[in-house]
This record gives sequence, C-alpha cells and structure tokens, in this order.
Amino acid sequence: MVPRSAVEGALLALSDGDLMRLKRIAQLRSFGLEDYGWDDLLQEAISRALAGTRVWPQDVPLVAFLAQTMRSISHEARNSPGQERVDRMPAQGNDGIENGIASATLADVAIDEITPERQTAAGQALKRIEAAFAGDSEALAVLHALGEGLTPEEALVKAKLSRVSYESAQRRIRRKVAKMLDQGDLS
Amino acid sequence: MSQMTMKEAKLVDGLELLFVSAPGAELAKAREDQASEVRQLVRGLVDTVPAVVPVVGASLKDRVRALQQLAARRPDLKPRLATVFGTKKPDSARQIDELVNDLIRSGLLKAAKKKKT
Repeated sequence: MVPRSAVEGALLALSDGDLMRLKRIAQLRSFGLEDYGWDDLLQEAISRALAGTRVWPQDVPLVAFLAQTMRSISHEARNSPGQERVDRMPAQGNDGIENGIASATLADVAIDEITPERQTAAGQALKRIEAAFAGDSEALAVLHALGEGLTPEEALVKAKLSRVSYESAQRRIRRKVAKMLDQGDLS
Repeated sequence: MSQMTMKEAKLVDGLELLFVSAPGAELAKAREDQASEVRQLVRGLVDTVPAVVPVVGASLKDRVRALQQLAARRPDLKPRLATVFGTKKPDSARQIDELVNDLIRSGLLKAAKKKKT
C-alpha cells in the first residue's frame, strides 16, 4: 500500500496539464448525476485516496487511478436510491427527443415526470457534442468510433483517416468539448 | 444499463480517453486560472482530509506514522504533538494511544473501521 505521505506528494506534484486532465474527466463523469458536480466527484476521489479507503496501487499512474475512482463513484451514484427515478428512464435511441428537454438542466430532468419520450440528460449532453460536430465529418467519424468502444488503432481504421488527420480530429474534439464544458453547454 | 445507453457510456469512456491521452501542454494551455482552481482544491484536501489510523491491532509504529503525517501537513499542531516529536518523549505506548484517540475525537485523524473476523 502506498503510504499517505506518498499520495500527498504525488497530488501536490501534479502538473497543470494533469490537473486539467482530472477536471475534464470529472466533468465527463458527472454527466447526468443529480448530486455530484465535477468538483464533488474529484473531491470524493481524492478524499478516498488520502484517507486510504481506496488504495492507490503503486504501478498505476495517479491520474489513471483517480479517473478509475471517479468512474466507480459515478457508477455508485447512478445506482443510489437518489437516482432511482432517473434510473428507471428507459434507454432510447437517437430519435424522438423533445426539443424542450435540450435546454433543461440535469437536475430538472431528474425530478421531472419520466416519460418514454424523454431521454436522459446525460444522453442529451452527448447528443449536443455530436451536434456540435455536424459540419466536421472527420471528427464525427472519430466520435462514432469512440461510441462503438473501439481502441484508438481500431478507430483510426474505422474512420478511414490518416494518422495525422485522426490526431488533428482528436485535438478539435478536445478543444470544442472543453469549451462546451467551460461554457456550461453540457449541463 | 441504467440511465445511459451502452453507446453513450462508451462515448463517455472514449472522450475520457481522449483527455487522458492528450499532451499536458495542450490541456494546460491558456487554462492557468482553471488549473489553479483545481490545485487549490487538491491542496485543501491534502491539508484537511484526516489520515486513517487502524484501530484494532494497530502497531505503535502505525500510530506514530499517522502522527508524523499529521504533523507534516499541520505544522500548527506541532505543539500539541510535542509529546511525540518535541523534547518531551512519550514514556509509554499508552500516551501515544491517548493522543491518537484525542485527535480522532477532534476529527484530525480518522479511525479505520473494525475488521470483521
């Protein structure tokens, strides 16, 4: 087990890039959560690591460990009683989404009456991301490949892009998604 | 799958991967204020989240280590910890126990849950 002093040292030594990486991951993982903002999620993950209730394996990079912890917390939160009404919402395809819900906040959706026509707020946020790339076929191809759970190598083949074009599309996606997250377009 | 469809969950995984694998310089670029906000959050937690001290079967060494870690991040508590780190040396394990228990009651250390046997 990594001693607390080592966890503290590693946390305090995180670069600006790694801190932003953690923030972006926390923002993505808090999609559709009623009780957690990105900062709550990150705070909970770090608290567990510091308190030793979640053990950091020495051979795993700290950022990857915290990302995995946030993923678990997000999963726990989705399945907690407080999320029950949202959980009962049926998974929908991409069709039949009411326009009005697009501007609702995640919390609004959680407490609204659940109807079969409505998709989850988390799904809406992801649809907004896809919509933002409507005019960028390369980025869309990468997003679709990600949605199929392909590895980067598989995604590159599937998207039929050169490595340079693929990496460029990845950068565009990161830039635009980061901007949308910062502007609150996805919450 | 609850709340998110499988495709949506995979897309979130994929987007996370995009940010995990991004060059740090790209992420930090022009985001100094935001990085500083996250750094502040991290610093605050390091300073305030109590260390866990095993309650059952804890060795004296483990308890002293918890006190050392507390002293390292809270210099203001050093006078209170003088019995361990100052000129006054602890004369018994009981004294360490009393101090640890006192700090647990104060919320500065956190007791680990008793292990089920």
